[in-house]
Amino acid sequence: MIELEQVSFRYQNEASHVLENINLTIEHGEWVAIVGRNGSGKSTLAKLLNGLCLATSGVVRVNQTVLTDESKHQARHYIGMVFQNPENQFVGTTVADDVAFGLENLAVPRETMIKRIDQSLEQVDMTIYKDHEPSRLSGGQKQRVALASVLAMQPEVIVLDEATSMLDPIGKKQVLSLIQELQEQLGVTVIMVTHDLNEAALADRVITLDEGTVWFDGKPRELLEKGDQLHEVGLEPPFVTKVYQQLTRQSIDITQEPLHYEELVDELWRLYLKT
Amino acid sequence: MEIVFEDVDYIYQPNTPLEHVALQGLSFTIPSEFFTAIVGRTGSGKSTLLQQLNGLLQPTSGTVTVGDTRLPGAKSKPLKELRRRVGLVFQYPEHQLFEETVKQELLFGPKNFGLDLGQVEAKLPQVLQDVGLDESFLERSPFTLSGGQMKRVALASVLILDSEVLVLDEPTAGLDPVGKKQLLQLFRYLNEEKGKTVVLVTHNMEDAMANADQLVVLNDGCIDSVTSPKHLIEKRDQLEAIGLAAPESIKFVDYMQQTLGVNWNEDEATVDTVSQALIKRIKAGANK
Repeated sequence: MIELEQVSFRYQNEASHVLENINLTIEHGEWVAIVGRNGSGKSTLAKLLNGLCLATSGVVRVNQTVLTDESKHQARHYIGMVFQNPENQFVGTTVADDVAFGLENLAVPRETMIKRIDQSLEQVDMTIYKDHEPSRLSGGQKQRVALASVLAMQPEVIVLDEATSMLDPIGKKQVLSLIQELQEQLGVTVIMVTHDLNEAALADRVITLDEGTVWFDGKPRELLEKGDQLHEVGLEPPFVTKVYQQLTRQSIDITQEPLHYEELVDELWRLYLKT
Repeated sequence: MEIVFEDVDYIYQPNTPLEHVALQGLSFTIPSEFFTAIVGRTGSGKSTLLQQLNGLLQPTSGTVTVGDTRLPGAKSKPLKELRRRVGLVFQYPEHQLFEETVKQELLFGPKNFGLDLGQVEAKLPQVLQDVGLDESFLERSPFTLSGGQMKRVALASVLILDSEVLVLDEPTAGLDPVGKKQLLQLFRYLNEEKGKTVVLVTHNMEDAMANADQLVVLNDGCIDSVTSPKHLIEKRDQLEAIGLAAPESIKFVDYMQQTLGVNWNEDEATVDTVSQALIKRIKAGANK
C-alpha cells in the first residue's frame, strides 16, 4: 500500500510548488492511471513513490515505511519504474546485461537470474535482441527492454511514466495486455502516467492532476462523463466520448458512459435495434 | 527542397557480428513543400531513415540527394550548409539541450551557423509563441522545465534557424492532447503558409492521416508503399500485419457497419459524420 499525506514538492531554487497538499492512498493490486497536462506534476508524483524525489513537506509511506533518504533504497526493491525515455536507465552493454543489472544488485542467484532474464525478455517480445547493444535499438525496442528490466525484478508495484509513448499501435496493445495480465494474475499494483485517455480507461481508477493538485480521483467512466470540462485540464475527450455526447444531445441515450466504441455500438444495438 | 532516395541501404556496424541491416533498397521522393509522414512499426527503420536526410548517417550504398547535395560524398562545407537547411528534431529532443538558459539554448544554433544574432534575437518572442511558450522562459534553465516544455524549447531551437526542411521524429510523443494539437497545427501552418517541406516520423496513424499529403510506409527496413492517406485507409486490413493500426474513428465506422448495418458513404470519419450516421440508423428502427 502506498500512502501520501499532505505531500508537497518544490524543486530547489524554484519558487512555486510542483505538487501541493496531495492526499492519496493506493491499495495493493490497484491499477491507477495518472493523467493531466504537461507540467501538472504527474512525473514528479511518480518519482515521489520510489524516492527519486523526496517530499518537501508531508509524508510518503510505502508498505507502512516512511520514505526517507535512508529508506528509499529498500522501497526500490518492490517498486519498479519504467520511464518515458528509457535511455536514461540503460547501463549494460547488451540487452541481457541490462536486464541482469537490477538482479545483480538484489544478489539474485545466477540460475534464477538467467531464468528471469529469459522470461522477461520473452514477455516483451525481445528475445532475439538478447545480445544486441541497447543503444542501437529503436525507441520502441528500448522501451520494451526497460520494461523487461523491471519485470525481471518481480516488483510488487510497477510505475510506468508514459512508458508506451514510443510504441507502435500493436506494440502498445501487447504491453498493455501484459500489464493487465500482471495485475490480474500476480496482483501487481500498476501506476501508469499517460496522456491517452483510451489507455487510462483500462485502469480501475484515474487520478487527474492540475497545477499540482488532484482535480479528479475516481473511475474512468466518471472522468469521461465530464466531457468538455476535460479541456480545462489539458485533456481531450476520446472520439467515442464526443460521439456519445452528440447522441445524448439528440436524446439518444444509453445506460452508462461508454469507455470504448464497441461498448457504445453494442449498447445502441441492444437498446434500439434488437428485435 | 526536393529529397530523392535512390536504392539506399544502411547497415549498422557492417562486417561485425552485430551487423544490422536497417534500411534496404529504399527508392522514393519527398517532393518540395510536401507534408510527408513516414510511418512504420517500432524498429522498422524510421529514425535511421530520417538521419539520412541531413547527413547524420550516410547511405552504405545508394544515394540520397537533398536539394543539390548528394550523399554520400558531400564535403564538410556543403554538409554544414545542409544541416542548416534541414532542421532535425530528435525523438527525445530534451537530449539536445545543454545550455544554462533557454535563451542561450535558442541562440546556440544560429551562432554556430554564423547567422546575424541581432536579427535572430528579434525573432525569439515569435518563435517561443509558436511553440506555446512565452518570454518568461528565456532566462530559465532548460533543466528545470517539464518534459513537455523541454520538447518545445528543443523544437524552438530548430525553428529559429528557419530551415527549408523540417524533419520531426515523433515530435508530439509525451505531450498532452492540447499541446499536441497546437504543435500539429504549427507544422501544418509552416507547411501551408511558409512553404516548408515537412517530414513527420510517427506511428500515430491519426496524426499521419490527418496531416500528410503523402505517406511513406516502412516495414522491416523496406518500403511497403508510398501512398496517400485515402489509399492507405482503403487498404487498412493490411496495416495490422506491419504493426500499424487504422485510426480509432475508422475502426469505429467499420464496427458500426458490421454490427448495426449502418449505411456509410462519407468521405471522412468525424464526430459529426459518425454521429449523424448512427442517429439516422437508429431512427430507421429495428426492422431495417
